[in-house]
Amino acid sequence: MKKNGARILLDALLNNGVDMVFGYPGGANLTLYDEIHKQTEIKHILTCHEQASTHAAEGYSRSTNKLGVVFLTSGPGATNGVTGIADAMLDSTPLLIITSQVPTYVIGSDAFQEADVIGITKPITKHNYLIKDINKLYDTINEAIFIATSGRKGPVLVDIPKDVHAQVVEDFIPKKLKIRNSYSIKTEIKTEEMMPGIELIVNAKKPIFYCGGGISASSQKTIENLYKLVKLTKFPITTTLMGLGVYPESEDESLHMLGMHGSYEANMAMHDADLLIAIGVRFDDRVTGKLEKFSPNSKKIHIDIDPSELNKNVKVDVSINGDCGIAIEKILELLNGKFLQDLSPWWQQIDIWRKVKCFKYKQDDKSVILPQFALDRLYELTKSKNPYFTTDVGQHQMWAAQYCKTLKSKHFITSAGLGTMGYGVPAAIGVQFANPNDLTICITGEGSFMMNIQELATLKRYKIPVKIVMLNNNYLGMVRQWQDAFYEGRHTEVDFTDICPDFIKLCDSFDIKAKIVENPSYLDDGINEMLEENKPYLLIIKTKRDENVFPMIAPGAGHREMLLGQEI
Amino acid sequence: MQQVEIYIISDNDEGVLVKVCNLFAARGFSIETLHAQPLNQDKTISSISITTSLPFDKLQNIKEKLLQIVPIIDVKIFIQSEI
Repeated sequence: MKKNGARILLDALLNNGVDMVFGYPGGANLTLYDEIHKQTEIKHILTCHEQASTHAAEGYSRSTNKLGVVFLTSGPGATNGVTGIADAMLDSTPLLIITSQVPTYVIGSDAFQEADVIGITKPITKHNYLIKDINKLYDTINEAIFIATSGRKGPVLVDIPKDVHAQVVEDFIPKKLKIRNSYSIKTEIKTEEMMPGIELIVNAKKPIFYCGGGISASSQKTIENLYKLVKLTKFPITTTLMGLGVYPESEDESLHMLGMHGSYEANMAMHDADLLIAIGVRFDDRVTGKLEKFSPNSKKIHIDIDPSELNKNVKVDVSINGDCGIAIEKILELLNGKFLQDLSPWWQQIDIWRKVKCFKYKQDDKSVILPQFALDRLYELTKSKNPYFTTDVGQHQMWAAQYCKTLKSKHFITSAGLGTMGYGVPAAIGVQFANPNDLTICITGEGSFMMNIQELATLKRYKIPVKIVMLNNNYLGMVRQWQDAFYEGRHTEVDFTDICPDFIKLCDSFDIKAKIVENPSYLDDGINEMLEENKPYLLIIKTKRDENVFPMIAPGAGHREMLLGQEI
Repeated sequence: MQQVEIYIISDNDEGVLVKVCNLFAARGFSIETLHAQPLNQDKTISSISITTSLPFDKLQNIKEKLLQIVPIIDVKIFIQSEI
């Protein structure tokens, strides 16, 4: 059958179950957008900036475990998307980015809107391709999707020149997927590999599970098996920011998040543990603190699908390379009938740490809202609806992680590795498109919100009911907190009082409802009013200006050296 | 620092050499010698050999990171001498 390159691309996407793409048209991908016009199977979502397309695709992917697909044009289109691609790389999010390139015969001539996209994106993609031969297009797209969604997931970029999009193949016959030999993923874990770990688990008196994004990215069955495993062993479990929700935080075994702004009990338990079972994590510096002081007396088991993560930052005693879903299943199987140690002294110790109540706060003042109180109320008033939370980056992100308890996996979507301000609103758009019947709440601050503020227009166009809750303290709060803590309070370029626009008028021009809440006694009414609206809504909560995020581990300190804030 | 020889077998895709070199450059290590050539008549498989100095505790990670580059089939690192 006669087909052009753009149509072959859409065929390959359809064949892989893609039904929604995010993107932005331009000169080099006109043919592709013409083909989109002619069909109805793939829905295209237009954002107002390429960065937002990539973030929206990330939100779509991370809330569903499906592949996120982005169409960008050449040159500036692709370079605008770079932040989102790097973000997906660090958070191991499966994305397929189709950038268009100037025609093959002008590549390298500094043509209009030409950029070396392959060169620019090499270090921030799992793999990338430039397609100059239309006969390789279909196979390459199939391979790219396989690479993006298998093993440790990640972004894969395919750069297609304009003339390849337009070139016509007279008799196109799709072939079956054949993966190159050099790309192999370990699909099996042998019992012998697991046994040293099982021995450690059986003998552990002070064990702890340390779980992360690897489990979030895994299947629902893995989440269920992890639940069974924790209930069987009664070991405490702490998760990273990426792993929030893999184990319901309402359960007794959950010690909440660990790390720099994690809970006191989780960090103390990590320090004192005699066995660390790390699954799908990468011992990030925000989690470990100073490496020499990180869990000094424990044996460590590390399970990860990516062999380069094993023994990278922290040397472990048992390293198991493989899919965490298979590993958890194996552990369940091998622990069957085995007796574990008595953990009651360990739980008594944990209960002592818990009594510190590191997240407590005092909303005494009747005139100003504490951010902790605002998010606490937001969580309480929405928890029955199991909302998807997306966040931007800064103080509000950490407060959201601390107070909006996540009960289900894939329900807390945040830019963890790269820490991209401006992630929240576009990610929420992606989440809402993937889950049209669920409540999606973006928690943001005024600094992050204004980084991708143009996406209000996307909300206006598609009328999707994304709820945005902005904690407004007219500061770049996290930077201000660090300037106070480590730079003797010299505030440089963090005061946003003169920068912030009139958000109500702004939203009015986008036909989006907005409301400001300044008084604690009106907070619940404001949140309820937002929830009743079946349209996009911006709730601006004016919060205490100089509130800091606690508890905190200062950079370079160990888990035992937590700062708990003044009031505690 | 350790003087090492690194031998890489790879599918002969365009851009593999750039990725390999960038892996060292991004970590602040410079390559001392570099040799690349096709291994078969169709020129579908290539070999790359590199000599450089690396910290001993980074060797395993660099090997894994090289293997992560999709077209790379095999990596072997030989330790020459300690510097």
